[in-house]
Amino acid sequence: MNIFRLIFENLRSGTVSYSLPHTHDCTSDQYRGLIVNDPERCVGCGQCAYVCPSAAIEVTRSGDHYTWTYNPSKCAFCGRCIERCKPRTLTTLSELPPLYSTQDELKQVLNMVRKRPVRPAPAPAAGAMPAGAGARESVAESAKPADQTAVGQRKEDLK
Amino acid sequence: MNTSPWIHLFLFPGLLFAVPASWFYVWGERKATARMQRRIGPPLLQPLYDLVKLFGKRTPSRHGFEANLLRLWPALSVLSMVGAIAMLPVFPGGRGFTGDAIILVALLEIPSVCFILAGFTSGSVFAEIGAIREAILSVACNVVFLLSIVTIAVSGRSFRLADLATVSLNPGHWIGVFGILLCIPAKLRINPFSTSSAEQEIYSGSLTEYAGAALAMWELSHGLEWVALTGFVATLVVPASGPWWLHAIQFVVISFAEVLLLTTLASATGRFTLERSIRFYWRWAAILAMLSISASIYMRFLS
Repeated sequence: MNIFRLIFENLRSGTVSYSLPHTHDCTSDQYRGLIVNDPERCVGCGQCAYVCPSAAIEVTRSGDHYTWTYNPSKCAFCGRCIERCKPRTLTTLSELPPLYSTQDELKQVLNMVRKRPVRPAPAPAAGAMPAGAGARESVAESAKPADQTAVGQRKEDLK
Repeated sequence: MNTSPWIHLFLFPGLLFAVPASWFYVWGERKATARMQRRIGPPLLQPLYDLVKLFGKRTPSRHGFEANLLRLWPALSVLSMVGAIAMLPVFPGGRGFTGDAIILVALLEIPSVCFILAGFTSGSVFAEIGAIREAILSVACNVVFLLSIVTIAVSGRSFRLADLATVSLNPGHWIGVFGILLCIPAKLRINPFSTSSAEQEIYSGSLTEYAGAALAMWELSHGLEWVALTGFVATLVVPASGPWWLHAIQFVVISFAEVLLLTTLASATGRFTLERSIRFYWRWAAILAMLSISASIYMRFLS
């Protein structure tokens, strides 16, 4: 009969747990919430979609345009996309995501014009090149397809 | 008080009362369990939120005859419980008919049968284990349940619910009520007789493969089972006299008190194994039921 005594004691002494939070100010600074993309800085490299383990981010290209899609209902909030994003265009909100009832309710779709990452041209050695050669090389670099540029970046990463 | 069967079916104690009451009883059970474990527990409308959430969920689609069967079992269970609740003699001097207690017993058994059939229909191993356990436990507890009802019927000399609801001082009546109370935890699949729906062992047994609206129907059926079984005992212990509204209030209060009593029992006990559950019902409860029915028959011959 000790169990009934224990139950009675529990009822008499009240609760020890806290009520569930009903406000959204309970997250820390390092909380990983919804992913936000800055369309001004996004170059459409697709690295975020490549590393996303749950396929929450998709990038589809057609010509000079691309569509960046983010579905929070699939997101694992791991933050790998933010780590991989070179232009630092992806950020995470440090607040709880809003409640949603359907899977595509919080889906974000951005249609953007593809931009090529512009790199600073290497400084020409004095007397080694004719005037304007550096500028031409810089233009050639920026005129490369974005995929090649991404490969170059990856090589740099590996180095 | 002769009331229309439609009032019984749709107003009180039928759908309009029974569905909110089932949420309230389920909330009472969850809240009381939480308080006994020093937790806060869910808010009052949580069972309603759960039901709405389940009805709104998209579930993996199944096709064919099996899918229709899986949808049929919880619906049948809900309908049988609504019918059983509508038959309860909650108003003093209700009409009923001779032998309606037998119909009530049959209706109260349908959710258990549907639970077993759902387990075998779904094809999951865990569901089949749950269905087998439920079948065995159902056989074990129904011996006592039926004997208890027969005891009450012999004491009251009738199988009409309105006659049984007339509380007598006959000890056979009260032993029968006690026997029914012993069977309710097994029929509701709560501790200590929750082996057929053990979440930690077999993932809720027969309901393993259920989700969304079909699972919501099972939840509703379970809530209605609470209303029907506690209400049945309440009609047997509340004196069937006085104004109808007082009788209705007594019905609700006694039913909720039973919910709290059963919750305390469930919180105070661990889950019995299947063998131990059967041993309890067939060794101890069945002996009690046999003695009580023998005593009732003997006293009837004496009188």
